Amino acid sequence: MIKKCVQFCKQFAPFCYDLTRIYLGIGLLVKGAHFMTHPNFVKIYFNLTQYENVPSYVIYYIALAHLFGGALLAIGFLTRLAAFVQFPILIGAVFIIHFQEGFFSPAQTLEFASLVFFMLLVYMVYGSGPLSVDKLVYKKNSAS
Amino acid sequence: MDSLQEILKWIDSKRQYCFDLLRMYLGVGLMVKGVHFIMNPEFLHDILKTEQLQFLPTAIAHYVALAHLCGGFLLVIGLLSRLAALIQIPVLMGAVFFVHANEGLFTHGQTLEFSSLVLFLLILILIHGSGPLSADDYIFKGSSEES
Repeated sequence: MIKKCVQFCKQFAPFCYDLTRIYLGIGLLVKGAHFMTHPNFVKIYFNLTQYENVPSYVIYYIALAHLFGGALLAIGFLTRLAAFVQFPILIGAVFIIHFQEGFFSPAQTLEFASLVFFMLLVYMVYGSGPLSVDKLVYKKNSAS
Repeated sequence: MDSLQEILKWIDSKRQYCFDLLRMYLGVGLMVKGVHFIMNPEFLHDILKTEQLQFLPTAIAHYVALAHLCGGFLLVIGLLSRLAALIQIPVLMGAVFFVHANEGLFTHGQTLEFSSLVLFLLILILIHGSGPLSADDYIFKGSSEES
């Protein structure tokens, strides 16, 4: 019985890496859309740090990068580039915004930011897997 | 340009490790979380107290801490990954649907987003099992099954 379940699961194993990417992409896309419609929400993050008067183009970069980068990650098109444009944001989120809160805060914000940071790093290095537009478009070349 | 192509090709040849890296990171995080829960029991107690879980909060707290500690460790080394993910899924289910669900999405703490991401990753590990970079692969190389 368990063996059958494991066998059933195994046929989906090649897509797990891509499913993670799709989930992450949708999450970041939603986050970007939320930031677009609520720019003040981002400003509150910066108000907690020494960078209080952050120029508005930084906020729009954050929102747009999450919006388009998230969409590209979700469909798996230009995955490495999509991860790359969002990478600086997560560096900022980890080392500027959430670092002062530290680990083990009840909200676990630093843990969340570092998890997304690490996942983007993995996608930046490895690119997308078999379930992606990259695979469809660049079938002949090996690189994305 | 030629060297970039070569680097990409080399990375592509190591592609089978990418999911294992995610598993290890998650394992380290969950193990540290388990240690933290054990060292600061009142931290977990505060989370549980805000809920309607009047019954056996101590038992739940012990299960949560031990599941994270042991399950996280097993995930790091990749031994019985599916089992390790399975024992932690109820904990994350509780976190998503009972603890953080009433906070909702788009809070500044992003707690619901965090726990649902971890829940999703654990479900994928349950499906995927451990990859080539794991104790499972080392021990059960001869047989095709793990647990």
